[in-house]
Amino acid sequence: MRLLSTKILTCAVIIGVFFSFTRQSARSQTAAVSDSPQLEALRKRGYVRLGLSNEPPWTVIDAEGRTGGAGPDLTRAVFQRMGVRELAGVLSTFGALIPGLLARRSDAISSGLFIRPGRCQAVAFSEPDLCDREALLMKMGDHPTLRTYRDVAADASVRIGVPAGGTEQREAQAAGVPADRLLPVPDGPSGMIMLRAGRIQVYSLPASSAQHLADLWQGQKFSLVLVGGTPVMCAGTAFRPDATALRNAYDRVLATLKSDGTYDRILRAHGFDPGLARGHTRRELCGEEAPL
Amino acid sequence: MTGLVLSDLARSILHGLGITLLLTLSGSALAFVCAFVFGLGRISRWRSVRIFSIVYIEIFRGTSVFVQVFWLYYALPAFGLLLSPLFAGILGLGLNVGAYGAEVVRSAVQATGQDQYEACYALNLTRYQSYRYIILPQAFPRMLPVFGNNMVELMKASSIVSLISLADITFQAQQFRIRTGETFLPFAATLIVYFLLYLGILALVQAAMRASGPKSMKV
Repeated sequence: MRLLSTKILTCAVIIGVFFSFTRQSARSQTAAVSDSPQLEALRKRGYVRLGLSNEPPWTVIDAEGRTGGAGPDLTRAVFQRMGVRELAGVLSTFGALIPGLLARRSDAISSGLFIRPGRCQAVAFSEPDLCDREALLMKMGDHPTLRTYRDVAADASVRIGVPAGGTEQREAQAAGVPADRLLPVPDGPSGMIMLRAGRIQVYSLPASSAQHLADLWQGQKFSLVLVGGTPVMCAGTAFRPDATALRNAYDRVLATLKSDGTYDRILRAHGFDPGLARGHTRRELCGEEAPL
Repeated sequence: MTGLVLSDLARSILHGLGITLLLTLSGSALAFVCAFVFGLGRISRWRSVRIFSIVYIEIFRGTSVFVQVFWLYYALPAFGLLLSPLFAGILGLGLNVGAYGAEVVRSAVQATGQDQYEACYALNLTRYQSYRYIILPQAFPRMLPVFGNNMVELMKASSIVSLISLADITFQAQQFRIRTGETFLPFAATLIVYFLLYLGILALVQAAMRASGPKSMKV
């Protein structure tokens, strides 16, 4: 009896494995065929236009206009494996990244665009590549008890600055911070000056960006606190909704880079933790509604 | 260290200056053409031309140039029209300021005395002849100071093109801030550069006013 059940189980496993293999090979065959038009067009042109906003260390644009930073370096590595040699940056403000992509001004966005349910309906994200936690930046010794957005909401004397068009605004609103104490900040240096001048008491942004700014302003004393009670945020490379085949091809190469160590090397070089993204998937980050 | 920062700033501003100059000059040229075409169109004999001119003037005067440029760059592609960033910038600025210029042209022409029109009629000049030789030579010097104002406005409004990924002076200053964290230096430099550009436009308008003075008037 026991033997029989083992046999049946073994058969089931073998059949299951066989089926999953055939399905996988069938899928990879169709993918290889269907990714051709968009990827072929990029290969023929020889470069991919990448929507960027200058957000160190996610994206760094130097004085000569050269593009670097964790996001573009990783995207460049992936596209080179896909046979697209060059990367042309299309620089804009953070809030104009998705409009630019949808208006065909760029082929992809790689500038720390967090995978959020709302955005998943507008653009086709790759699997998560750069993950980070939210942080609060404030003058040292100022409001030492602030740890979460809820604390900010509870203290009527605290105004909080958030990146314009970023996810922090939604998080802070959800925690009950009223609109008149929630100020959009156009860029990092402006946030630091607003902080120093007392226009805002707290500046919330991704921890790696906050660390970069604190290092840049090392003369002054700022303290950095990781926001309690918020999940890890993960960014992905975003494609147009009609470019899911290109996105799928990108995902496959990204998975290869994650397993052969290239991914870890690029992320470490820019101060990102390569372990964080491995615990998350696009499906989970996009929430209930099916992502593109 | 500071020397390196300063040369970085100087290079950034110079890169941006090229774009700002190109936008100002091309935008003003387009605005100048639009001003005459639609300003005279508004007082045309043909009703359809008048209506078309009024619609253009009111739409472009009545909406924000910021939104117009955004539209040209981000919304038109939805209708299959993909303008280059530079072209979208020139078009947006030129059409907007041209609408203001059209009103300047119309008012300057209408401010010409009724006796001048009557003289043209008495001399049996054609409509083209009276405008070309009598009305416009008198109206043009009246337009120039306001055209100068409009050109300065266009030059200053050109800073909005950073919205459409054009690297003008303001955009370069912003990028410099993000790279270095410095705020005083880049903004002081942009203030000075914009003011120098303003002085340049002022000199241009004054030269044009001298050239269009009574001495060179062809009658």
